[in-house]
Amino acid sequence: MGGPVIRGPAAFGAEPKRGSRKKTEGRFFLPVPSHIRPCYTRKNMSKTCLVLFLCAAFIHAQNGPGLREVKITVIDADLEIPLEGARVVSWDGTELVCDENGETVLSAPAERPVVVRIAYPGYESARLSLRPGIFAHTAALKLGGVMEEKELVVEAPKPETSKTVSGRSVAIAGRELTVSSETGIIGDVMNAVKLLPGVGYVGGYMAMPSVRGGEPSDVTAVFDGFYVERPYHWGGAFSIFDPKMIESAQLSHGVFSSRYGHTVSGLLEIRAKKPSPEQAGLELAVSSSATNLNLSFPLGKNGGAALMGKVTYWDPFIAFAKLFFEEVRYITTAPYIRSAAASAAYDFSSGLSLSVNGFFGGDGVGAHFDDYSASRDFRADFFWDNKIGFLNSALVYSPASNLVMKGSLGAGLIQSDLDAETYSLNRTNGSIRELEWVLTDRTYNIQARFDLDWEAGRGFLFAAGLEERYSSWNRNMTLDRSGASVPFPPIDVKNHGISTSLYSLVEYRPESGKFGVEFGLRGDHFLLDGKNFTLTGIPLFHPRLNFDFKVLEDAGPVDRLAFSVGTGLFSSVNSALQNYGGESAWNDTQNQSWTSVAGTKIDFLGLYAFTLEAYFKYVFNRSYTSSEPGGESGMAPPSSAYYFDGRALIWGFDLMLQKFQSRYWDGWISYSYIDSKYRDPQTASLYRNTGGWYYPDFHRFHTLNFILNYKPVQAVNLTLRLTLASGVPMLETRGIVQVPGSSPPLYERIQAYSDHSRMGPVIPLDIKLSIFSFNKKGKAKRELYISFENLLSLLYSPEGPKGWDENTGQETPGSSIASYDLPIPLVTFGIKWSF
Amino acid sequence: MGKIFVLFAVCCLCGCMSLAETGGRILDGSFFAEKTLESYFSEGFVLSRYRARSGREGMILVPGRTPSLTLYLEFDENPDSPGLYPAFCRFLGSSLSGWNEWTADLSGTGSLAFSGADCTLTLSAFEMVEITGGRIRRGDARFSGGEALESLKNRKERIDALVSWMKEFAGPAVFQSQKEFEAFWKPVLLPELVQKKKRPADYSEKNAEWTRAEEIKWNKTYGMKFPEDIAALRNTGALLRDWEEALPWLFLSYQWDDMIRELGGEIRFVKKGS
Repeated sequence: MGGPVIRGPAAFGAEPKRGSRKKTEGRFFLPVPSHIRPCYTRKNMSKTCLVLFLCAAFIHAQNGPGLREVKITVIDADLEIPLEGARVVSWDGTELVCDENGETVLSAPAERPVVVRIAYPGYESARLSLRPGIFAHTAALKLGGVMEEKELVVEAPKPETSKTVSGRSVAIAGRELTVSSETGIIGDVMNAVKLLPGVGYVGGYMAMPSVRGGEPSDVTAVFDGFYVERPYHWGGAFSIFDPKMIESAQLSHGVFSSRYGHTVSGLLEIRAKKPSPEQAGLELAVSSSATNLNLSFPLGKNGGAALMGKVTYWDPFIAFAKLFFEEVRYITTAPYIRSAAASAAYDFSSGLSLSVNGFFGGDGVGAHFDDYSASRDFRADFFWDNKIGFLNSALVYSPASNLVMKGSLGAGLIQSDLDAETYSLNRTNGSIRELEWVLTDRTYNIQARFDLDWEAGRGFLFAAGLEERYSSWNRNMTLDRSGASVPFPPIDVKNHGISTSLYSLVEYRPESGKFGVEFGLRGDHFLLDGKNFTLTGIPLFHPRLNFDFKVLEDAGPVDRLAFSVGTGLFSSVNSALQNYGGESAWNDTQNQSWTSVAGTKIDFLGLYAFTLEAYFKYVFNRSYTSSEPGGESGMAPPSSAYYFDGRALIWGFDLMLQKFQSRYWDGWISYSYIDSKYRDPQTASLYRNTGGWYYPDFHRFHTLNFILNYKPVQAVNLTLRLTLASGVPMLETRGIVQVPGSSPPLYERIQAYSDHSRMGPVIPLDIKLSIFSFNKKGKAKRELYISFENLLSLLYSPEGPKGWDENTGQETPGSSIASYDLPIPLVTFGIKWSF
Repeated sequence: MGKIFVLFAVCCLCGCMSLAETGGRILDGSFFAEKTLESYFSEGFVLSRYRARSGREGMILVPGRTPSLTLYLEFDENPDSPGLYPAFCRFLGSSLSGWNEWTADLSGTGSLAFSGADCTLTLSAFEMVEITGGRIRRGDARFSGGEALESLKNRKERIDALVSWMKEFAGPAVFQSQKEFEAFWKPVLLPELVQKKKRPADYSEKNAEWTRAEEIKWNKTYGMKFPEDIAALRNTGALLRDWEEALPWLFLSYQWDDMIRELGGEIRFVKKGS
């Protein structure tokens, strides 16, 4: 057929009357302008094909664009099923009815747009404009609400909702994460994580907190399913996780799912921002200490990519400070961090998607110090360079709506170099002391993982998975001290470790949602292989069980009240084992803990949430090291001995009252009480109570955090972070005695471990003031901010261990500061633009 | 010296805002979407001829009073015809909370006649059909696709209802700018948020009933002066959110009929630079 053809419901048949609608066997005929009518009426259908062709050609020639046919398809917007019987009111008033495929065809002027209306009972009606050049259009109708009367759609406020799961994890995301993590000289997700309940205070320049009494090095970080080893800059001062690349951070410190392991204290699960396939975004932040640039943009119609870069630049500040402060003149390379991250996600179909995440960063510092005087020559050089990177990819396949499979593969590397030298000549007696400290560390790992989730129906979910992780640690450290009484034990290892894990779990949650139960089983195995040994771990199988009960829902001011209890076994490999160089053995190489948690969570008044959790952990088979004297004379280099009989008893409770993002103020108060006693039976260290029970050096009984965001007007945000934390343990001085036979007399301090000897409490206060504005003619937004860190340090410094003079035997008036904080307030200011 | 520093700081701040805007537009492709070929001016409107990336040419009409709106006019496909028609419009309204961006189909007919450096635009039967797509940013959250479209349509429904009442209440008040519009209507719609001396005479807190939404106590007794549906918007805080997040849109809707009227006749434009 050559000319305009009416298909579908406007079937060929009897000649329709212009301007009217005629129904024949359920079909409708369109009114057709008289100048094209001859071409498809039944009379003319009997003509020869040649005539038809000529006729069609004639119409096309006569009318040019003339009329065009437009196929309208009407579907349900949610179900995407055709809506048979939907009515289409055409531009000229003609009514058409869609066929069983939800289709109808109308004719419209080719050279100008026309408006048609579509209606279907129970659905919201739609109007659409058919512009020239459009020959097909799919209209998706949405189910209407109460259709009898036209109602305005009233949207209630949408507060943020907490993804915190009582008894398992506490989550932070969105603006809460941004505001609390972007305070200070370096934006760091750990700035926010450190303020969560269960996390002991650790100081502003340390990103390795103790979580519920566990060892700081035991906290495991997972970035989109990839275990990131040592994700820190400056040896742990800041994490590599920039808030701008993060969607959410979830700290699991309860009885969390069997999907993850390798920790007995806390799992930090970081989710990267997924770049939008539909919108581009740009964020540029320039502050007095760093610049960040973040870009995200669509990749085709089904994917997106994001890039992030961060550069710190303290060189001008250091150069400026050198003019005034003697202490900083020795810095040759200002402390720096350079990092870049990239991510991409692409949906090949509704059931198949691929995502890739990569990160590469470096940090370092350099120093040189000279002091030539009449009494001595002193020279010191120090250089630290650290690089960390990883690349991870994940393929998600969902062949059915109730089945998801995910395979991921990734690799990571760490490369650290430290070189420190000191030379000291005492001109009085001609003695020379030299120290050389060299460390090289080359670590890399490869990980693969497969996860399967199957929703079996009737509230049952089954999940299983397997993960394999290979690591290589090539580490060399020497510390030569001329004139020192005891040499330092060197490290020279080239170890390889393979960990294999598998898990399965069943989750049941009935439709009523009144309770839920999850039972999981996880198996972990670890094998360490070195130059002259193989340490074969005993495979461990750990069950985990969680119950949660919903007690109330939408009852008065209470939105939801739920209780949860859980118990489970966990394991991790102590990072100290990476330097193992002992005998071949078949041993419990993994720390293990039995953890039990009971908790409650109340959501109320639509804006608040309160969580309270109490826990008990028994840690056993914990590995630790102890320094052993070298040889009988004690002058040979000592060695590190590894033991696997460490224990810990940890209990405590923590609570959090949170007000979600709202108009004038929001924030949270969190309090943690932690009692964690450790025992390393084979150690002779005073700090570890020579084999008795002791509180470790990171332990704090109380940590109280208060975070407030106050917005007096829309354009202003004042953030206040106040922490009050009790002190960490320190040795108790029990006396000072003269060293027998020393002349001139020298004194030594008699110290001992005591449960009651603590450093002073810390009270850091940080304040950030932000002022927002926007481009009235575009989409760009600006934030101007200034922040003050550790503001109270001018008034108060926590008391640390007192110094003393070995020549006089007297305590010196000053004392060290009992936290990783600078003793002066630090001011940072900057501007952030976003599109 | 101080003045120079302040000037430098202002230049940096403003310059980088434009830089971010341009950078963002390059990323999302809108920077390259169309190229302005020539511009014409009249009292109240700017008319530009543009070439889209596809090579197709058309005209852009921007009302001076509501620059957040851009009307796209396309030429008839028939090359012999001087006709053009309103094809669609694009709106972008920003606020401290984020922005609303939508595209709506237009219908109508028109013509454009060139005469030397001038041209005359005639539009008739001009109307907005329906919002067909859009995007929203609220805080750090971004919405697009069906989710954004639904929210935008809901917001349009609320704004249309509100504007309809506002016109009944105040008659054909003419506001030269959004600032004037805000100064007049904020005390009427949201007296709880303005200084006492600016509140309307019929606002009273004596024996008033109150309700709380968006952390603000709303005077329900005062709200009874509004139709039931508008009062419901006020009492739930939806009106406040529309006010804060979509004031340019509200202003546009208020001006829409006037703009259509102004576009109803012949408009003469003078080419830029002539």
